[in-house]
Parts: sequence; C-alpha cells; structure tokens
Amino acid sequence: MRESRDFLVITFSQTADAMAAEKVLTQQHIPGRIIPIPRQLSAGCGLSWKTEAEEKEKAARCLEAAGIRWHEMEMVRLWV
Amino acid sequence: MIYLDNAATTLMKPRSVTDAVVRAMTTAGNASRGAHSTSLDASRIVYDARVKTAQLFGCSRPDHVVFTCNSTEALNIAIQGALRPGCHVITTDLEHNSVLRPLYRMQDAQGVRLDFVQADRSGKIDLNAFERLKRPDTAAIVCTHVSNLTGEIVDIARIGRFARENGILLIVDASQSAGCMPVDMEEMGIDVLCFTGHKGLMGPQGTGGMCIREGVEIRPLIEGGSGVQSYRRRQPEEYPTRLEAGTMNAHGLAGLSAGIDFIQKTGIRTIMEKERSLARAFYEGVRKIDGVQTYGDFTTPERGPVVALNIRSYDSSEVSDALSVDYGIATRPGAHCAPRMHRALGTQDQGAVRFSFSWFNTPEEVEEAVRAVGEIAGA
Repeated sequence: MRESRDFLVITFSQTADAMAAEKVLTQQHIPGRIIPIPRQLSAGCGLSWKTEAEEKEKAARCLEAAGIRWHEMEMVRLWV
Repeated sequence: MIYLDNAATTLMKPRSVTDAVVRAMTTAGNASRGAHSTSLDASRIVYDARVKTAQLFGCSRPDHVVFTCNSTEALNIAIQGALRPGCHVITTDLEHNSVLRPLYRMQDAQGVRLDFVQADRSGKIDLNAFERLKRPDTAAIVCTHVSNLTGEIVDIARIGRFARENGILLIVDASQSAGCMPVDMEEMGIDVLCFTGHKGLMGPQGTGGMCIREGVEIRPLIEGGSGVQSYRRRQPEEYPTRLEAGTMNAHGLAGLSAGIDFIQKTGIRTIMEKERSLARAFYEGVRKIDGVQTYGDFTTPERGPVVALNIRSYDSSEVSDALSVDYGIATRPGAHCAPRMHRALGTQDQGAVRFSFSWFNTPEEVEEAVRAVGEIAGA
C-alpha cells in the first residue's frame, strides 16, 4: 500500500484560474503543485493545487490579493 | 520574392515565433486535459498567451481573453453571442465581410436592424453619423479600427466615448491594427476587441481571439469539451471556458506569445513608425506615376500600412499577376472582402491592388515595387 496523508487541495472551476494560481503561488514560494482534482472534490475533470495544510491561510491571502477565484479548499487524504 | 501582402497575413515572422511553435509541437500535450507534464505545459502556454494578450490590449483580466482561430470566428462569437433578436446595430461601410456577414445573418434570422455609417469617395466616415443613427434601442456598434482596403484609421476612442455615454456595446475589429499600432481597450472604451494572430501580431495562422470587458455577456456559439466541469450539461459559465470548446491551438498560441514578445521588445510605436514610413515612401513614389490612382486619405500620416491603387483601367487581377510573375512582388487584387467600401470608392468592378507593409520589409523593396508599378503603368 502506498502511504497516504492529508493534504490541502484547492480546486478551480476552470483551467485559466488554475494556471493563474500556479503562477502566483509559485511566485510566493508556497510549496505544492498542480494535480488532477481528486474524486472526493469533483465528479468532473480538471486541475487543482495540492499543498500542505498549514499553507491554507497564506495561499488564500495570495489568491485573494491576486483576484484569483477558487472553488474549494479542502483537506483530502492523498498518496504522499 | 518581395512580400507586400502583410494585410492578408505576415509571411516573414520573427525566428522566435517559428522556434516556439516547433518547441510546443514537440513538448505540449492537450491544454486543460489532465495534469501530466505535457498537458500542464500546454495549459501554461495558453495561459501565458492570455496574460501577454491582455497586457498588449489593456484588458484588465487575462481570463477574459478568449482564443479563437482568427478574427472572423471571434467576430461571429461576439456578434451572434451578444446581440438580441430585433435590436438595433450601427456599423460602417468600412467593414470586412467578417463583420458584415454575421450581421446580415442576424438581420435575416433574428430581425436585427442595421444602419450603416457611410463612407465617402475617399473611404472616410463622418463620426457624427453615429449620433444621427442612434436610436433608443441601439444595442451595439460594430466597427473596424483600420480599413483593410485603404488603411483608414477610425477614431475608436471617440466612438468609445459615444458608446459609453449612451450605454451601447462597442465591438471592434482590430484585424488590421493589432500589432501595427497601439490598441488599448480601456483608453478606447472598447467592450469586445476581436483580433487575429497571423497579421500584425506575427503569430501563426489559426490563432486569434477576443478580449472581453468585465461585465459583458456573450453567449457561446459552440459548446463541447472543456476539460473542466465535465458533468455539467451545458458549457461552463466562466470566461474563457464559456467561449472555448474543444482542443485549444496551444502550438499556435506558443507562436502568438512569441510574436507578442517580439512586438513588446521592439516597441509597438517603433514598429508603427517603420511600417508607416515604408507605406508613405511607396505612396510618394507611385502617386507621381501617370495613370496610377490611389485610394484613401493620405493627407494624414496616421494610417495603417496599406496602399491600394489601380493603374489606368487595368484589371487589378492582371496587375497583381504581372507584379507576381514578372517582378516577384506579392500583392492582393480584387475585392478584399469589403464590398461596401469598394462601392464607396467606386472600385467594385475594377477591384484594387493592395500593397501592405510589415516590420520586415525594407526601403529597397519599396523602391523595387514603385519601379514595377511605373513600368506596368508605362507599358
């Protein structure tokens, strides 16, 4: 079994928002990367940002400051 | 060959454009279709192109930059997606068929009522006519920035002020101005700016798009795969996905991005001045030739880099063919997809030979072209 633990996952309603978020979060040195949206959060397909739980407030601040919309911010158990 | 058909498409591109396309074709997967590295590369290419396009045109939001295949597709989406049945629209005699035909379609199918600001014999329009044609139910003005036939520049900023004051949507066709002169949506009061990537922006064919001011609602013309919200029955609501169904041309958009980089690095005003000076030198050369008739108003230096002319009563197609076969000079003859403008200029039968210039043309090429026109006129 692959090891898994909780991660913060930020979802977006469309790719342009995910790309904008990737740019801003990377610039702000928030660790993480783009992953496909886990099924717990979306029955569709699309992109999300996977990061550590403690980054939630900073990530939210960065996205808000940049005017980037996100859909959800949820803790999800994912493979490490 | 001397390529002087840049108003149709620019043939000479910066090397960085072709390099970017080749690189993208070997590295980019399908944008917005997964999170593996090649799909993300494609998504990043498309997003970067949105950011650069927004910056170039003064569009406040990159996600309000929608990519299409060309101006025609963008204009169709804007015209058919923004207008309501029975509304009133003001447009001009300068327009290309990419504006006229979608409008005529809306007229025939949706009862949209059209009024035209007429062009005079020199291809100029009276801007006060917009005020005269305005009605209480005027919903939109659809207007070109630069005539593709004469190079006449329309004072979009003034029309934009009029449109804002009267709550009228302003849709602008920037096919001939994008990349050739400054275009700023905010400064000019443009609600929807439609552009193509393969002319002044120096990108590949198959690229283009529209910039949409915040708050402007446009219905999708096509719906389909979006890569997001897959279980939603209809196309997602958010721009740009709302108006972008199907696989994006990420390979082409990589080239468009590189074209915009080239323009920003070179300076849009530097490009504008050079292209204008080439066109002006050509005009000054040919206007003295007996039998040459040019079209448009050359009393102002502020023009698109286009000179349309005829030689005596010769068929413009024959002249263009002779230029191509005998002199290796590429020009465009005929009707230029601008039927109302040809009627205004009186060239509906003869057409016109259009010489159009780009950053990559040289004064020597202009001299050659003037000499060729002189020889054909003297023969």
